[in-house]
Amino acid sequence: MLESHLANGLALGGAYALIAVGYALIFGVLRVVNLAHGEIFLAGALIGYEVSQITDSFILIVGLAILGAAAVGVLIERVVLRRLRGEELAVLTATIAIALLIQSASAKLTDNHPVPYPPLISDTSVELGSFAVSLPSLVMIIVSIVITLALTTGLRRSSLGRQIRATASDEEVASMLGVRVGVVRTGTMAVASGLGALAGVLVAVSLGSLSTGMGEAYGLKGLVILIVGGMGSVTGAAVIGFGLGILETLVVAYGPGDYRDAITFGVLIAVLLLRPQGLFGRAAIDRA
Amino acid sequence: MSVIIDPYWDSVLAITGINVLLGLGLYLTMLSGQVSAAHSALGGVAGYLSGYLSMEDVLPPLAAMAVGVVAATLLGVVIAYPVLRLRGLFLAIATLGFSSAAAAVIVNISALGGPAGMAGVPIVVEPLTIIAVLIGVVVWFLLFDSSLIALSFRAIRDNELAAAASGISIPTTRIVAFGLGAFVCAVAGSLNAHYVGVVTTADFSFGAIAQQITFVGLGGSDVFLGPIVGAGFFSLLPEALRFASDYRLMIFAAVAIIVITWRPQGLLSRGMLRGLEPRIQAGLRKAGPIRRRLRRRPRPSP
Repeated sequence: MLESHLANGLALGGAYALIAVGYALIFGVLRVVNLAHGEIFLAGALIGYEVSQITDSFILIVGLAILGAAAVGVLIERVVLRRLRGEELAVLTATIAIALLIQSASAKLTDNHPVPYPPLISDTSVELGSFAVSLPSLVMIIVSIVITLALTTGLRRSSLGRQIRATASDEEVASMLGVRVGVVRTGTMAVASGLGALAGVLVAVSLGSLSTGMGEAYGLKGLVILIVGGMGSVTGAAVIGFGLGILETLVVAYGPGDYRDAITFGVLIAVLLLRPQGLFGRAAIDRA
Repeated sequence: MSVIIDPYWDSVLAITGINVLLGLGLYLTMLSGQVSAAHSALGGVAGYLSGYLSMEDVLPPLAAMAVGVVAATLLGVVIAYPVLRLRGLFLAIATLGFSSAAAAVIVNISALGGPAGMAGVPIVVEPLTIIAVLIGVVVWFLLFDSSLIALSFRAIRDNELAAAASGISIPTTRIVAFGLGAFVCAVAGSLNAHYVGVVTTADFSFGAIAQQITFVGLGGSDVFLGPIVGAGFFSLLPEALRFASDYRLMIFAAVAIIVITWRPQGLLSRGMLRGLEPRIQAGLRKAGPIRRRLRRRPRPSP
Protein backbone atom coordinates (compact mmCIF):
# COMPACT_ATOMS: atom_id res chain seq x y z
CA MET A 1 0.00 0.00 0.00
CA LEU A 2 2.71 2.43 1.02
CA GLU A 3 4.50 2.02 -2.32
CA SER A 4 1.46 3.01 -4.33
CA HIS A 5 0.81 6.00 -2.05
CA LEU A 6 4.41 7.04 -2.58
CA ALA A 7 3.99 6.67 -6.34
CA ASN A 8 0.83 8.78 -6.31
CA GLY A 9 2.64 11.30 -4.15
CA LEU A 10 5.48 11.43 -6.65
CA ALA A 11 2.98 12.03 -9.47
CA LEU A 12 1.32 14.89 -7.60
CA GLY A 13 4.74 16.17 -6.59
CA GLY A 14 5.89 16.00 -10.20
CA ALA A 15 3.15 18.44 -11.19
CA TYR A 16 4.08 20.68 -8.25
CA ALA A 17 7.76 20.49 -9.20
CA LEU A 18 7.13 21.44 -12.84
CA ILE A 19 5.12 24.47 -11.73
CA ALA A 20 7.52 25.44 -8.95
CA VAL A 21 10.69 25.34 -11.08
CA GLY A 22 8.88 27.78 -13.37
CA TYR A 23 8.27 30.13 -10.46
CA ALA A 24 11.89 29.73 -9.37
CA LEU A 25 13.28 30.41 -12.85
CA ILE A 26 11.13 33.51 -13.22
CA PHE A 27 11.99 34.76 -9.76
CA GLY A 28 15.67 34.03 -10.21
CA VAL A 29 16.06 35.84 -13.51
CA LEU A 30 13.32 38.47 -13.55
CA ARG A 31 13.21 39.10 -9.78
CA VAL A 32 9.43 39.08 -9.77
CA VAL A 33 6.84 36.69 -8.43
CA ASN A 34 4.55 36.01 -11.34
CA LEU A 35 1.16 35.56 -9.70
CA ALA A 36 -0.25 34.60 -13.11
CA HIS A 37 1.93 31.48 -13.28
CA GLY A 38 -0.85 29.24 -11.94
CA GLU A 39 -3.09 30.54 -14.68
CA ILE A 40 -0.40 29.78 -17.28
CA PHE A 41 -0.69 26.18 -16.08
CA LEU A 42 -4.46 26.47 -16.59
CA ALA A 43 -3.97 28.09 -20.00
CA GLY A 44 -1.78 25.17 -21.07
CA ALA A 45 -4.44 22.66 -20.12
CA LEU A 46 -7.05 24.79 -21.84
CA ILE A 47 -5.10 25.12 -25.09
CA GLY A 48 -4.54 21.36 -25.02
CA TYR A 49 -8.28 20.88 -24.62
CA GLU A 50 -9.13 23.14 -27.54
CA VAL A 51 -6.54 21.44 -29.78
CA SER A 52 -7.88 18.02 -28.80
CA GLN A 53 -11.25 19.03 -30.31
CA ILE A 54 -9.53 19.23 -33.70
CA THR A 55 -6.91 16.50 -33.63
CA ASP A 56 -6.16 13.32 -31.71
CA SER A 57 -2.40 13.57 -32.05
CA PHE A 58 -0.83 13.47 -28.58
CA ILE A 59 2.33 15.22 -29.77
CA LEU A 60 0.35 18.00 -31.43
CA ILE A 61 -1.85 18.55 -28.37
CA VAL A 62 1.02 18.72 -25.89
CA GLY A 63 3.28 20.62 -28.30
CA LEU A 64 0.74 23.31 -29.12
CA ALA A 65 -0.19 23.66 -25.44
CA ILE A 66 3.46 24.25 -24.54
CA LEU A 67 4.06 26.64 -27.45
CA GLY A 68 0.83 28.52 -26.81
CA ALA A 69 1.55 28.99 -23.12
CA ALA A 70 5.14 29.98 -23.88
CA ALA A 71 3.82 32.61 -26.26
CA VAL A 72 1.53 33.94 -23.52
CA GLY A 73 4.50 34.05 -21.16
CA VAL A 74 6.63 35.95 -23.68
CA LEU A 75 3.79 38.38 -24.21
CA ILE A 76 3.47 38.98 -20.45
CA GLU A 77 7.22 39.61 -20.17
CA ARG A 78 7.52 41.86 -23.20
CA VAL A 79 4.37 43.90 -22.82
CA VAL A 80 3.86 44.13 -19.06
CA LEU A 81 6.76 43.03 -16.85
CA ARG A 82 9.42 44.84 -18.88
CA ARG A 83 7.68 48.16 -18.25
CA LEU A 84 7.26 47.53 -14.54
CA ARG A 85 10.81 46.75 -13.49
CA GLY A 86 11.46 47.58 -9.87
CA GLU A 87 7.79 48.33 -9.18
CA GLU A 88 6.94 45.51 -6.79
CA LEU A 89 3.34 46.42 -6.06
CA ALA A 90 2.64 47.20 -9.72
CA VAL A 91 3.99 43.78 -10.71
CA LEU A 92 1.74 42.09 -8.14
CA THR A 93 -1.28 44.07 -9.34
CA ALA A 94 -0.53 43.51 -13.02
CA THR A 95 0.04 39.76 -12.68
CA ILE A 96 -3.13 39.46 -10.59
CA ALA A 97 -5.02 41.24 -13.39
CA ILE A 98 -3.45 38.89 -15.96
CA ALA A 99 -4.51 35.91 -13.82
CA LEU A 100 -8.03 37.31 -13.71
CA LEU A 101 -8.02 37.74 -17.49
CA ILE A 102 -6.99 34.11 -18.09
CA GLN A 103 -9.42 32.86 -15.42
CA SER A 104 -12.37 34.70 -16.89
CA ALA A 105 -11.46 33.57 -20.40
CA SER A 106 -11.33 29.99 -19.11
CA ALA A 107 -14.67 30.37 -17.31
CA LYS A 108 -16.17 31.62 -20.57
CA LEU A 109 -14.69 28.78 -22.65
CA THR A 110 -15.73 26.05 -20.21
CA ASP A 111 -19.10 27.61 -19.32
CA ASN A 112 -17.90 27.70 -15.72
CA HIS A 113 -18.20 23.94 -15.34
CA PRO A 114 -15.52 21.28 -15.21
CA VAL A 115 -15.19 19.82 -18.71
CA PRO A 116 -14.20 16.18 -19.33
CA TYR A 117 -10.62 16.02 -20.58
CA PRO A 118 -9.75 13.69 -23.44
CA PRO A 119 -7.95 10.54 -22.19
CA LEU A 120 -4.72 11.23 -24.06
CA ILE A 121 -3.03 8.52 -22.00
CA SER A 122 -5.17 5.44 -21.44
CA ASP A 123 -6.14 5.07 -17.82
CA THR A 124 -4.78 1.58 -17.31
CA SER A 125 -2.76 0.55 -14.32
CA VAL A 126 0.78 -0.67 -14.63
CA GLU A 127 2.05 -3.46 -12.36
CA LEU A 128 5.42 -2.59 -10.91
CA GLY A 129 6.36 -5.63 -8.88
CA SER A 130 4.28 -5.55 -5.71
CA PHE A 131 2.15 -2.51 -6.49
CA ALA A 132 0.28 -0.83 -9.33
CA VAL A 133 0.31 2.75 -10.63
CA SER A 134 -2.02 4.29 -13.18
CA LEU A 135 -0.35 5.00 -16.52
CA PRO A 136 -1.00 8.78 -16.46
CA SER A 137 0.64 8.97 -13.02
CA LEU A 138 3.62 6.98 -14.25
CA VAL A 139 4.01 9.30 -17.25
CA MET A 140 3.81 12.30 -14.95
CA ILE A 141 6.50 10.87 -12.65
CA ILE A 142 8.88 10.03 -15.49
CA VAL A 143 8.35 13.29 -17.40
CA SER A 144 8.75 15.47 -14.30
CA ILE A 145 11.86 13.67 -13.05
CA VAL A 146 13.51 13.75 -16.47
CA ILE A 147 12.69 17.41 -16.98
CA THR A 148 13.77 18.63 -13.56
CA LEU A 149 17.03 16.66 -13.84
CA ALA A 150 17.64 18.00 -17.37
CA LEU A 151 16.88 21.50 -16.17
CA THR A 152 19.19 21.46 -13.17
CA THR A 153 22.02 19.92 -15.21
CA GLY A 154 21.32 22.24 -18.12
CA LEU A 155 21.51 25.26 -15.84
CA ARG A 156 24.98 24.16 -14.70
CA ARG A 157 26.45 22.74 -17.89
CA SER A 158 24.96 24.37 -20.98
CA SER A 159 25.89 27.78 -22.31
CA LEU A 160 22.31 28.99 -22.09
CA GLY A 161 22.10 27.72 -18.53
CA ARG A 162 25.24 29.63 -17.61
CA GLN A 163 23.81 32.75 -19.23
CA ILE A 164 20.63 32.34 -17.23
CA ARG A 165 22.56 31.93 -13.99
CA ALA A 166 24.78 34.88 -14.82
CA THR A 167 21.76 37.07 -15.44
CA ALA A 168 20.19 35.87 -12.21
CA SER A 169 23.25 36.67 -10.14
CA ASP A 170 24.11 40.05 -11.64
CA GLU A 171 22.34 41.44 -14.63
CA GLU A 172 24.66 44.38 -15.22
CA VAL A 173 27.85 42.35 -15.16
CA ALA A 174 26.23 39.64 -17.29
CA SER A 175 25.29 42.15 -19.94
CA MET A 176 28.80 43.62 -19.91
CA LEU A 177 30.16 40.14 -20.53
CA GLY A 178 28.02 39.84 -23.62
CA VAL A 179 24.98 38.03 -22.32
CA ARG A 180 21.91 39.28 -24.12
CA VAL A 181 20.00 39.90 -20.95
CA GLY A 182 16.74 40.85 -22.63
CA VAL A 183 16.70 37.61 -24.62
CA VAL A 184 17.51 35.59 -21.49
CA ARG A 185 14.62 37.20 -19.61
CA THR A 186 12.16 36.49 -22.40
CA GLY A 187 13.55 32.99 -22.90
CA THR A 188 13.25 32.21 -19.20
CA MET A 189 9.63 33.30 -19.23
CA ALA A 190 8.99 31.10 -22.28
CA VAL A 191 10.63 28.03 -20.72
CA ALA A 192 8.88 28.49 -17.37
CA SER A 193 5.51 28.96 -19.04
CA GLY A 194 6.05 25.94 -21.29
CA LEU A 195 6.82 23.74 -18.28
CA GLY A 196 3.70 25.04 -16.55
CA ALA A 197 1.63 24.18 -19.61
CA LEU A 198 3.08 20.67 -19.77
CA ALA A 199 2.12 20.17 -16.12
CA GLY A 200 -1.33 21.55 -16.90
CA VAL A 201 -2.01 19.05 -19.69
CA LEU A 202 -0.67 16.11 -17.67
CA VAL A 203 -2.66 17.03 -14.56
CA ALA A 204 -5.87 17.49 -16.55
CA VAL A 205 -5.27 14.12 -18.22
CA SER A 206 -4.76 12.30 -14.94
CA LEU A 207 -7.74 14.05 -13.32
CA GLY A 208 -9.81 13.37 -16.43
CA SER A 209 -11.30 16.86 -16.26
CA LEU A 210 -10.41 20.50 -16.47
CA SER A 211 -11.82 23.22 -14.23
CA THR A 212 -11.04 26.91 -13.98
CA GLY A 213 -10.24 26.61 -10.28
CA MET A 214 -7.25 24.35 -10.80
CA GLY A 215 -5.00 27.20 -11.92
CA GLU A 216 -5.34 28.92 -8.57
CA ALA A 217 -5.10 25.71 -6.53
CA TYR A 218 -1.88 24.52 -8.14
CA GLY A 219 -0.50 28.03 -8.52
CA LEU A 220 -0.81 28.60 -4.78
CA LYS A 221 1.03 25.35 -4.02
CA GLY A 222 3.75 26.38 -6.46
CA LEU A 223 4.14 29.62 -4.54
CA VAL A 224 4.47 27.75 -1.23
CA ILE A 225 7.16 25.53 -2.77
CA LEU A 226 9.01 28.55 -4.15
CA ILE A 227 9.25 29.99 -0.64
CA VAL A 228 10.01 26.77 1.21
CA GLY A 229 12.59 25.73 -1.37
CA GLY A 230 14.25 29.12 -1.31
CA MET A 231 13.38 31.95 -3.68
CA GLY A 232 14.95 31.34 -7.06
CA SER A 233 16.48 27.96 -6.20
CA VAL A 234 15.53 25.60 -9.02
CA THR A 235 16.89 22.55 -7.20
CA GLY A 236 15.04 23.57 -4.06
CA ALA A 237 11.80 24.00 -6.00
CA ALA A 238 12.13 20.56 -7.59
CA VAL A 239 13.00 18.73 -4.36
CA ILE A 240 10.36 20.47 -2.26
CA GLY A 241 7.81 20.01 -5.04
CA PHE A 242 8.21 16.24 -4.96
CA GLY A 243 8.37 16.31 -1.16
CA LEU A 244 5.16 18.28 -0.81
CA GLY A 245 3.34 15.94 -3.19
CA ILE A 246 4.38 12.93 -1.14
CA LEU A 247 3.57 14.68 2.16
CA GLU A 248 0.09 15.64 0.98
CA THR A 249 -0.65 12.17 -0.35
CA LEU A 250 0.50 10.52 2.88
CA VAL A 251 -1.54 12.98 4.98
CA VAL A 252 -4.63 12.10 2.96
CA ALA A 253 -3.89 8.37 3.17
CA TYR A 254 -2.94 8.03 6.83
CA GLY A 255 -3.54 11.33 8.58
CA PRO A 256 -6.24 13.99 8.90
CA GLY A 257 -6.88 14.34 5.16
CA ASP A 258 -9.37 17.17 5.65
CA TYR A 259 -6.55 19.24 7.05
CA ARG A 260 -4.22 18.66 4.07
CA ASP A 261 -4.08 22.31 3.05
CA ALA A 262 -3.85 23.49 6.65
CA ILE A 263 -0.77 21.30 7.10
CA THR A 264 0.78 22.52 3.84
CA PHE A 265 0.39 26.15 4.82
CA GLY A 266 1.43 25.41 8.38
CA VAL A 267 4.72 24.06 7.02
CA LEU A 268 5.05 27.25 4.96
CA ILE A 269 4.57 29.48 7.98
CA ALA A 270 6.97 27.43 10.09
CA VAL A 271 9.69 27.57 7.43
CA LEU A 272 9.23 31.30 6.93
CA LEU A 273 9.58 31.97 10.63
CA LEU A 274 12.49 29.61 11.27
CA ARG A 275 14.42 29.89 8.02
CA PRO A 276 13.12 32.82 5.96
CA GLN A 277 15.58 32.24 3.14
CA GLY A 278 14.02 28.83 2.47
CA LEU A 279 15.51 25.39 2.90
CA PHE A 280 17.74 25.67 -0.17
CA GLY A 281 18.22 29.44 -0.22
CA ARG A 282 21.48 31.12 0.62
CA ALA A 283 20.98 34.83 0.12
CA ALA A 284 19.98 36.95 3.07
CA ILE A 285 16.48 38.24 2.65
CA ASP A 286 15.95 41.83 1.87
CA ARG A 287 13.10 43.90 0.58
CA ALA A 288 12.89 41.33 -2.17
CA MET B 1 -35.26 49.11 5.08
CA SER B 2 -34.61 52.54 3.75
CA VAL B 3 -33.92 52.82 0.05
CA ILE B 4 -31.35 55.26 -1.33
CA ILE B 5 -31.77 54.83 -5.08
CA ASP B 6 -33.39 51.49 -5.87
CA PRO B 7 -32.73 48.00 -4.48
CA TYR B 8 -30.34 47.04 -7.26
CA TRP B 9 -28.13 50.12 -7.11
CA ASP B 10 -28.35 50.09 -3.34
CA SER B 11 -26.71 46.67 -3.31
CA VAL B 12 -24.05 47.86 -5.77
CA LEU B 13 -23.46 50.83 -3.47
CA ALA B 14 -23.21 48.58 -0.39
CA ILE B 15 -20.71 46.22 -2.04
CA THR B 16 -18.68 49.16 -3.29
CA GLY B 17 -18.71 50.63 0.21
CA ILE B 18 -17.44 47.40 1.74
CA ASN B 19 -14.76 47.08 -0.91
CA VAL B 20 -13.64 50.65 -0.29
CA LEU B 21 -13.38 49.88 3.45
CA LEU B 22 -11.30 46.77 2.67
CA GLY B 23 -9.07 48.82 0.37
CA LEU B 24 -8.60 51.52 3.02
CA GLY B 25 -7.75 48.93 5.66
CA LEU B 26 -5.06 47.31 3.57
CA TYR B 27 -3.80 50.75 2.49
CA LEU B 28 -3.29 51.66 6.12
CA THR B 29 -1.07 48.62 6.71
CA MET B 30 0.72 49.01 3.39
CA LEU B 31 1.55 52.59 4.28
CA SER B 32 4.10 51.08 6.66
CA GLY B 33 5.54 48.95 3.84
CA GLN B 34 3.78 45.73 4.82
CA VAL B 35 1.93 44.07 1.95
CA SER B 36 -0.36 41.84 3.98
CA ALA B 37 -2.39 38.98 2.57
CA ALA B 38 -4.05 38.39 5.94
CA HIS B 39 -6.34 41.41 6.03
CA SER B 40 -9.10 40.06 3.84
CA ALA B 41 -9.12 36.93 6.00
CA LEU B 42 -9.18 39.01 9.19
CA GLY B 43 -12.33 40.65 7.86
CA GLY B 44 -13.65 37.14 7.33
CA VAL B 45 -12.75 36.18 10.92
CA ALA B 46 -14.71 39.18 12.22
CA GLY B 47 -17.66 38.18 10.04
CA TYR B 48 -17.59 34.56 11.19
CA LEU B 49 -17.29 35.46 14.85
CA SER B 50 -19.99 38.14 14.93
CA GLY B 51 -22.21 35.99 12.72
CA TYR B 52 -21.81 32.98 15.00
CA LEU B 53 -22.33 34.93 18.23
CA SER B 54 -25.49 36.60 16.97
CA MET B 55 -26.89 33.43 15.36
CA GLU B 56 -26.46 31.45 18.57
CA ASP B 57 -28.11 34.31 20.49
CA VAL B 58 -25.06 34.75 22.67
CA LEU B 59 -25.08 38.47 22.02
CA PRO B 60 -27.34 40.97 20.24
CA PRO B 61 -26.06 41.63 16.68
CA LEU B 62 -24.49 45.00 17.44
CA ALA B 63 -22.55 43.70 20.43
CA ALA B 64 -21.57 40.62 18.42
CA MET B 65 -20.21 42.87 15.66
CA ALA B 66 -18.20 44.82 18.20
CA VAL B 67 -16.78 41.62 19.69
CA GLY B 68 -15.96 40.32 16.20
CA VAL B 69 -14.14 43.50 15.28
CA VAL B 70 -12.15 43.62 18.52
CA ALA B 71 -11.22 39.93 18.30
CA ALA B 72 -10.12 40.18 14.65
CA THR B 73 -8.06 43.28 15.43
CA LEU B 74 -6.35 41.48 18.29
CA LEU B 75 -5.72 38.51 16.02
CA GLY B 76 -4.16 40.96 13.55
CA VAL B 77 -1.79 42.15 16.27
CA VAL B 78 -0.97 38.54 17.16
CA ILE B 79 -0.11 37.81 13.50
CA ALA B 80 1.87 41.02 13.11
CA TYR B 81 4.25 40.00 15.87
CA PRO B 82 5.84 36.83 14.39
CA VAL B 83 6.07 38.31 10.87
CA LEU B 84 8.02 41.33 12.13
CA ARG B 85 11.23 39.89 10.73
CA LEU B 86 9.76 39.40 7.27
CA ARG B 87 9.60 42.01 4.56
CA GLY B 88 8.22 42.51 1.09
CA LEU B 89 7.08 39.40 -0.71
CA PHE B 90 8.05 37.13 2.18
CA LEU B 91 5.63 38.94 4.44
CA ALA B 92 2.92 38.77 1.79
CA ILE B 93 3.35 35.05 1.32
CA ALA B 94 3.60 34.23 5.04
CA THR B 95 0.34 36.08 5.64
CA LEU B 96 -1.13 34.31 2.61
CA GLY B 97 -0.19 31.10 4.40
CA PHE B 98 -2.12 32.26 7.45
CA SER B 99 -5.22 32.99 5.35
CA SER B 100 -5.11 29.66 3.53
CA ALA B 101 -4.46 27.67 6.71
CA ALA B 102 -7.28 29.49 8.53
CA ALA B 103 -9.66 28.72 5.65
CA ALA B 104 -8.65 25.05 5.68
CA VAL B 105 -9.41 24.88 9.41
CA ILE B 106 -12.73 26.75 9.25
CA VAL B 107 -14.00 24.55 6.41
CA ASN B 108 -13.60 21.57 8.76
CA ILE B 109 -15.59 23.09 11.64
CA SER B 110 -19.18 21.97 11.22
CA ALA B 111 -20.52 24.56 13.69
CA LEU B 112 -19.34 27.21 11.24
CA GLY B 113 -21.18 25.62 8.34
CA GLY B 114 -18.24 23.83 6.74
CA PRO B 115 -17.41 24.43 3.07
CA ALA B 116 -20.90 25.77 2.29
CA GLY B 117 -20.44 28.67 4.68
CA MET B 118 -22.66 29.85 7.50
CA ALA B 119 -26.12 31.02 6.41
CA GLY B 120 -28.80 32.69 8.49
CA VAL B 121 -26.76 35.48 10.03
CA PRO B 122 -29.30 38.12 11.19
CA ILE B 123 -29.43 40.93 8.64
CA VAL B 124 -29.22 44.19 10.53
CA VAL B 125 -27.03 46.25 8.22
CA GLU B 126 -28.48 48.37 5.41
CA PRO B 127 -26.64 50.00 2.52
CA LEU B 128 -27.16 53.32 4.27
CA THR B 129 -25.36 52.01 7.38
CA ILE B 130 -22.39 50.97 5.29
CA ILE B 131 -22.20 54.35 3.57
CA ALA B 132 -22.48 56.12 6.93
CA VAL B 133 -19.65 54.04 8.41
CA LEU B 134 -17.59 54.65 5.27
CA ILE B 135 -18.05 58.41 5.56
CA GLY B 136 -16.96 58.22 9.19
CA VAL B 137 -13.85 56.24 8.25
CA VAL B 138 -12.99 58.65 5.43
CA VAL B 139 -13.28 61.61 7.80
CA TRP B 140 -10.96 59.80 10.21
CA PHE B 141 -8.51 59.21 7.35
CA LEU B 142 -8.57 62.94 6.50
CA LEU B 143 -7.38 63.66 10.03
CA PHE B 144 -5.04 60.69 10.18
CA ASP B 145 -3.27 61.34 6.90
CA SER B 146 -1.35 64.32 8.23
CA SER B 147 -0.75 62.89 11.70
CA LEU B 148 2.58 61.97 13.20
CA ILE B 149 1.58 58.28 13.17
CA ALA B 150 0.95 58.33 9.41
CA LEU B 151 4.29 60.06 9.00
CA SER B 152 6.08 57.35 10.99
CA PHE B 153 4.36 54.66 8.87
CA ARG B 154 5.64 56.31 5.71
CA ALA B 155 9.07 56.77 7.26
CA ILE B 156 9.60 53.08 7.95
CA ARG B 157 8.24 52.20 4.52
CA ASP B 158 10.68 54.55 2.77
CA ASN B 159 13.77 53.87 4.84
CA GLU B 160 13.75 51.67 7.88
CA LEU B 161 17.26 52.54 8.99
CA ALA B 162 16.71 56.27 8.80
CA ALA B 163 13.39 55.91 10.60
CA ALA B 164 15.01 53.91 13.40
CA ALA B 165 17.77 56.48 13.63
CA SER B 166 15.13 59.18 14.05
CA GLY B 167 13.75 57.41 17.10
CA ILE B 168 10.82 55.57 15.53
CA SER B 169 10.34 52.13 17.06
CA ILE B 170 10.01 49.86 14.06
CA PRO B 171 8.35 46.86 15.75
CA THR B 172 5.77 49.00 17.54
CA THR B 173 4.98 51.05 14.45
CA ARG B 174 4.64 47.97 12.28
CA ILE B 175 2.34 46.26 14.77
CA VAL B 176 0.22 49.41 15.12
CA ALA B 177 -0.06 49.69 11.33
CA PHE B 178 -1.01 46.04 11.02
CA GLY B 179 -3.59 46.29 13.81
CA LEU B 180 -5.15 49.54 12.58
CA GLY B 181 -5.54 48.09 9.09
CA ALA B 182 -6.97 44.91 10.55
CA PHE B 183 -9.47 46.99 12.50
CA VAL B 184 -10.80 48.71 9.36
CA CYS B 185 -10.97 45.38 7.50
CA ALA B 186 -12.73 43.75 10.47
CA VAL B 187 -15.34 46.52 10.43
CA ALA B 188 -15.86 45.82 6.72
CA GLY B 189 -16.08 42.07 7.35
CA SER B 190 -18.65 42.23 10.12
CA LEU B 191 -20.74 44.79 8.22
CA ASN B 192 -20.68 42.47 5.22
CA ALA B 193 -21.72 39.45 7.28
CA HIS B 194 -24.78 41.22 8.67
CA TYR B 195 -25.62 42.78 5.32
CA VAL B 196 -25.47 39.64 3.16
CA GLY B 197 -26.56 37.22 5.90
CA VAL B 198 -24.06 34.57 4.82
CA VAL B 199 -20.41 34.12 5.77
CA THR B 200 -18.14 31.93 3.64
CA THR B 201 -14.43 31.29 3.38
CA ALA B 202 -14.42 33.29 0.14
CA ASP B 203 -12.81 36.14 2.11
CA PHE B 204 -9.87 33.82 2.85
CA SER B 205 -9.34 32.86 -0.79
CA PHE B 206 -6.49 33.95 -2.96
CA GLY B 207 -9.04 35.63 -5.22
CA ALA B 208 -10.33 37.90 -2.44
CA ILE B 209 -6.80 38.74 -1.29
CA ALA B 210 -5.68 39.44 -4.84
CA GLN B 211 -8.68 41.68 -5.32
CA GLN B 212 -7.89 43.65 -2.18
CA ILE B 213 -4.26 44.15 -3.23
CA THR B 214 -5.53 45.30 -6.62
CA PHE B 215 -7.70 47.97 -4.97
CA VAL B 216 -4.58 49.55 -3.53
CA GLY B 217 -2.18 48.80 -6.37
CA LEU B 218 -4.54 50.05 -9.06
CA GLY B 219 -5.75 53.13 -7.21
CA GLY B 220 -2.46 54.18 -5.69
CA SER B 221 -0.75 53.14 -2.50
CA ASP B 222 0.50 56.51 -1.34
CA VAL B 223 -2.66 58.58 -0.89
CA PHE B 224 -5.82 57.37 0.79
CA LEU B 225 -7.86 58.54 -2.19
CA GLY B 226 -6.00 55.80 -4.12
CA PRO B 227 -7.69 52.73 -2.60
CA ILE B 228 -11.03 54.56 -2.71
CA VAL B 229 -10.64 55.13 -6.44
CA GLY B 230 -9.20 51.63 -6.94
CA ALA B 231 -11.99 49.86 -5.05
CA GLY B 232 -14.59 52.04 -6.73
CA PHE B 233 -13.12 51.26 -10.15
CA PHE B 234 -13.01 47.55 -9.33
CA SER B 235 -16.59 47.47 -8.04
CA LEU B 236 -18.30 49.78 -10.50
CA LEU B 237 -16.57 49.06 -13.82
CA PRO B 238 -17.92 45.49 -14.06
CA GLU B 239 -21.38 46.99 -13.42
CA ALA B 240 -20.85 49.56 -16.14
CA LEU B 241 -19.76 46.75 -18.46
CA ARG B 242 -22.92 44.76 -17.77
CA PHE B 243 -23.99 45.15 -21.42
CA ALA B 244 -20.96 43.04 -22.38
CA SER B 245 -22.37 40.21 -20.19
CA ASP B 246 -19.99 37.26 -20.44
CA TYR B 247 -17.01 39.30 -21.49
CA ARG B 248 -17.19 41.95 -18.79
CA LEU B 249 -14.65 40.35 -16.45
CA MET B 250 -12.25 39.89 -19.36
CA ILE B 251 -12.67 43.49 -20.47
CA PHE B 252 -12.25 44.64 -16.90
CA ALA B 253 -9.04 42.63 -16.45
CA ALA B 254 -7.66 43.96 -19.72
CA VAL B 255 -8.43 47.54 -18.67
CA ALA B 256 -6.73 46.91 -15.31
CA ILE B 257 -3.59 45.58 -17.05
CA ILE B 258 -3.46 48.62 -19.32
CA VAL B 259 -3.99 51.02 -16.42
CA ILE B 260 -1.27 49.51 -14.26
CA THR B 261 1.20 49.30 -17.15
CA TRP B 262 0.51 52.91 -17.97
CA ARG B 263 0.67 54.12 -14.36
CA PRO B 264 2.82 51.74 -12.26
CA GLN B 265 2.31 53.92 -9.17
CA GLY B 266 -1.43 53.48 -9.43
CA LEU B 267 -3.99 55.93 -10.76
CA LEU B 268 -3.34 58.46 -8.01
CA SER B 269 -0.02 59.32 -6.47
CA ARG B 270 1.14 61.88 -3.97
CA GLY B 271 3.34 63.63 -6.48
CA MET B 272 0.49 63.89 -8.93
CA LEU B 273 -1.94 65.33 -6.40
CA ARG B 274 0.69 67.72 -5.11
CA GLY B 275 1.62 68.75 -8.63
CA LEU B 276 -2.01 69.32 -9.49
CA GLU B 277 -2.72 71.76 -6.68
CA PRO B 278 -0.25 74.55 -7.48
CA ARG B 279 -0.99 74.17 -11.16
CA ILE B 280 -4.65 74.90 -10.50
CA GLN B 281 -3.82 77.81 -8.24
CA ALA B 282 -1.28 79.17 -10.65
CA GLY B 283 -3.73 78.91 -13.47
CA LEU B 284 -6.28 80.81 -11.44
CA ARG B 285 -3.89 83.60 -10.65
CA LYS B 286 -2.50 83.54 -14.19
CA ALA B 287 0.89 83.64 -12.52
CA GLY B 288 2.16 80.39 -13.96
CA PRO B 289 4.69 81.75 -16.48
CA ILE B 290 6.11 84.33 -14.08
CA ARG B 291 6.58 81.79 -11.29
CA ARG B 292 8.26 79.35 -13.61
CA ARG B 293 10.66 82.03 -14.82
CA LEU B 294 11.49 82.94 -11.25
CA ARG B 295 12.17 79.34 -10.41
CA ARG B 296 14.37 78.83 -13.47
CA ARG B 297 16.59 81.88 -12.82
CA PRO B 298 17.38 82.18 -9.13
CA ARG B 299 18.45 85.66 -8.05
CA PRO B 300 22.27 85.89 -8.26
CA SER B 301 23.81 86.05 -4.84
CA PRO B 302 25.61 89.32 -4.06
